[in-house]
Amino acid sequence: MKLTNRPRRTHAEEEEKPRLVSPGHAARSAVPRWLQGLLTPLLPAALLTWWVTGTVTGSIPQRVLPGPFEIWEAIQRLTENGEILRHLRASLARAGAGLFTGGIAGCLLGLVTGLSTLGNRLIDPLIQAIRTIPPLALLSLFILWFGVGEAPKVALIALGAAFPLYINTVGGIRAVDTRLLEAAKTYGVKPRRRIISIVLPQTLPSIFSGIRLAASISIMLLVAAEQVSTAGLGFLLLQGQSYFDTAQVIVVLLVYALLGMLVDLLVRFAERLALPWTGRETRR
Amino acid sequence: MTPVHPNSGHTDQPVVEGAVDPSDAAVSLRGVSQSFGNRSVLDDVHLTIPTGQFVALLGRSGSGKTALLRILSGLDPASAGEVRVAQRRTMVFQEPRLIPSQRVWRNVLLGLNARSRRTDALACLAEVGLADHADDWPALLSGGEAQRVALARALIREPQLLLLDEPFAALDALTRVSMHRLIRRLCALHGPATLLVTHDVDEAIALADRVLVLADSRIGLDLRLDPALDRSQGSSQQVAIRRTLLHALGADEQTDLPLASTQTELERHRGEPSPP
Ligand SMILES: Nc1ncnc2c1ncn2[C@@H]1O[C@H](COP(=O)(O)OP(=O)(O)OP(=O)(O)O)[C@@H](O)[C@H]1O
Ligand SMILES: [Mg+2]
Repeated sequence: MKLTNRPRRTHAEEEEKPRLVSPGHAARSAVPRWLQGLLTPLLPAALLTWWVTGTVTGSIPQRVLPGPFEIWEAIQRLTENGEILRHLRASLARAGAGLFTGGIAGCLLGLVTGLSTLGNRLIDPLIQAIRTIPPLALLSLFILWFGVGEAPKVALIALGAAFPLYINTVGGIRAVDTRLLEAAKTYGVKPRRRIISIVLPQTLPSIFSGIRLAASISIMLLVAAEQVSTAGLGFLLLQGQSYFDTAQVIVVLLVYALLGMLVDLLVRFAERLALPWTGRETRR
Repeated sequence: MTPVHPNSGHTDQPVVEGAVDPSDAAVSLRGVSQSFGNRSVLDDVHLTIPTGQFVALLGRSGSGKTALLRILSGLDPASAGEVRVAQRRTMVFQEPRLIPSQRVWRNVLLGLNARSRRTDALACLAEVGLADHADDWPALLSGGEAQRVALARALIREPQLLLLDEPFAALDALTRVSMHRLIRRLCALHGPATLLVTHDVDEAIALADRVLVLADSRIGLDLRLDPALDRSQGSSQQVAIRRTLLHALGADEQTDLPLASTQTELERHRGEPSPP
């Protein structure tokens, strides 16, 4: 094609050329920004209004959903004599003990499986087999074994926390960039040092997401384990249920939600501290 | 006098006139073969590299250059043949391979004993022009910067054999030229045998004492370059060697001549000869 034969561009053609867009904003939604800002609190606000008006006018029965005033009363009643704190402490002690022991055990077993082929052969099949049993179903067995004290509850939580940490540790080790290990090998780094300075740091992000998963699972199992106890959030929940005290049930649910959020925040914070090399600017 | 001492024999006789005493060699390969499955990548390779020699290794993609370097570095065993290499050797890979969880200066000290100090790392980083980045995380470096850190990591150990697998591929033309100077200077200073894998014929001519071309699983060409050679881009000697190498690589004569690399262009603009 000869360049000279090309007709000169007309003004109209100039305007038809594709518009330039900024990269990374291509997927921006068609909804304008100000409307988006309004959309986010829309549903919660509607729900809140429905709750307040429904309970005040009496169209929502007390037993289904108590009003704001009743909830406030329940909060006051539960906090007044520090009762809820006592229950919270009992629950946290159980969850903490279970999470800690189970987490450490899962992590250690994961390290053995991930780092040695022998461990992989020996441990992994058994753990995979046990994992097929739902942890909640094991509560009965644990009660038969350990009685109704603290032991079965902590054991249940420990078991539930161990699996995600085991799986994430093994997965993290398997995903380590072997090319880095190779480079370290040519530079004469001994196997043990390679594990400490390359494998473990590379596995940490995966371990942290395992911790987050384990934390939420342990809170979940806490509810079930505390159905047979005299203290703890699960006990408060059951008490509210048996006295038809819906307000108390709802307050306990709120505490669970707060607890979950707090734990997640804490783990994220610890993660940021422990993994400084995955800063925001380097995260994909 | 011809500037070139082409290997008169074939791969069976790679050691040309004036060959050094093998005990002084950094690399000695006898009948080395490498195959993956039933695919032969290297076949009966003989190679001796004396201490202090700078060797460039050319070859098309997939010709087995990396495979050869992996054998020399001790990462892969050869499937046949005798491999003898200097004890202290370091390798710069095609990718930087820095450890993301360690700061740049820590990466430079990788594998050195605990007594090695930060000041040593800083001095070495300064040599590759990265003193300011000593405390950065590797993920924040540009590709070329990361590759230079990898180079510093290889140089700080003062190896007897330096294996470089296309270390300059990610660098811009200017940085490349300064890296060439740096490498030549450091090699002259510490005198390691250097084996540089490259795709760039001009780079090979500019830097090397000797150029090998890997083709059909063998060292198809083994060229000694006279130290007195006029290596400036476009000189008659340079062009002649260039043609020989491209021919050995199997490049088509018609298409190869206009293919001047960016480095070539740059040097021509600055009227500067390549480092001898
Ligand atoms: N571990 C392996 N298993 C199977 N095949 C392999 C392996 N390593 C290398 N190869 C094959 O050997 C051949 C040579 O590979 P090599 O990496 O040495 O090429 P190269 O000359 O370095 O190429 P490039 O210039 O593209 O880096 C390729 O065809 C590759 O597929
Ligand atoms: Mg390669």
